[in-house]
Amino acid sequence: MKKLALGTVLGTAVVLALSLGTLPRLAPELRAARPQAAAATPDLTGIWSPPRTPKGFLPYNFSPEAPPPMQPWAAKRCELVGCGTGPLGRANDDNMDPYLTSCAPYGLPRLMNHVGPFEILQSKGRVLVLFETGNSVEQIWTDGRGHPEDLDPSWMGHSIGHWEGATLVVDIVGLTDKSWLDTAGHPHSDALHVVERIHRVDHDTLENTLTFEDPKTYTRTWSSTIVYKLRPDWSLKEDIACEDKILIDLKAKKEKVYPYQPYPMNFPTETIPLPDVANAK
Amino acid sequence: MKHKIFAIVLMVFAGCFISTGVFAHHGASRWDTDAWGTISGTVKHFDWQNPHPLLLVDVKNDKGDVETWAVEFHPPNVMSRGVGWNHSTFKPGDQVTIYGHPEKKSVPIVNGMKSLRPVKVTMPGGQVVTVDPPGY
Repeated sequence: MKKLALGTVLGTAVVLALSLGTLPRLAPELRAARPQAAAATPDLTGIWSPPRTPKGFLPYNFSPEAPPPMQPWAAKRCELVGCGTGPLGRANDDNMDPYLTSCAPYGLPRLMNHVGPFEILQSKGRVLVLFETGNSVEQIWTDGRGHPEDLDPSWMGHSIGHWEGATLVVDIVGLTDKSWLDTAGHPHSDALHVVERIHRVDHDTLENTLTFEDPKTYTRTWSSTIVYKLRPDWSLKEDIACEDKILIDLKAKKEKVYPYQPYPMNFPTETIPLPDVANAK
Repeated sequence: MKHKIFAIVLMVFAGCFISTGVFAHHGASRWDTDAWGTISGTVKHFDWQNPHPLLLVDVKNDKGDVETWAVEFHPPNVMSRGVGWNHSTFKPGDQVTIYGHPEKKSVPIVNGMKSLRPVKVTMPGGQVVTVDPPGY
């Protein structure tokens, strides 16, 4: 019993001695680590969308002040589409819009300059941006990985990010050249490289400065800044491209697709076809 | 007369109103934004769909013949957040009056239907709703 008590006292003394010896060495690191960790994860979560102006929404245009410096082929295509010369900086001929004519996804970076809201979610090693438009998801990898080599071009591309203070810096490559850069109709190639710098100006305001580098399409890099407002009362809704065309198609195949449908389905009674894009001048 | 349908009135107020032109599914140049017109009639069909909800309205013209007009609105999520519409906002048989921009004469009428770009709608319940801009 006496031995046990002595052992306990000795054991406690050893533990205390070790603690006293190690704490002064650990504590400064712990103290330093905590504020650094807090600064490394600013909170951008929430549903955001561009503010509306008295005339409607923001210009649907990453280059509202002046046209970006284009290569000759891009300038010709812009002339055909009427880049930014339509209402609110849209393309003048949006019957050339791959979204409207071919049900194509918006893709990035066009989704960042659109009236549809997006929700930012943050998790360890990854920031998710859920875009309402087309129910698209951008995964921004913040775990230190780089871009894969030999990426397949895609509508959302490949995004990696890191924090610089309170700013999330996002690097996007691997984008398909089939999408429009913005609703103004500006083209881009599969060499497009977008860098976004996203930070919270105040509680209700998010600012994104995008820099575009695409030497196949533009003669120099150029930038655009867009702000978004927090929409605390909103939730994301479903958004499917071309529901009108889907309904028309299903109606045409009704007997084949729904042979045992017991109740009448709500198919459109009339259809409004899109203009003939192939012959558009 | 309960089902009396008013004749189409076209009024021109050149340059008096701002034009938002937010949606232009069939081309912004389709609409004569200097001109204003009103149609009143009976809802034939309502499709709550992307990219534009489609309302078909049977309107009696000044000769007494019924013509179907096609009216498209901002996307469903915009109309939902802005003015609270949903798939059951209009039902066949509802009476509506729509005030907006007519088509330019030079633009062919799609699918045999006339069209109007709506700015204000008098709803089946009588209230007037501004649908362009839809306010959010």
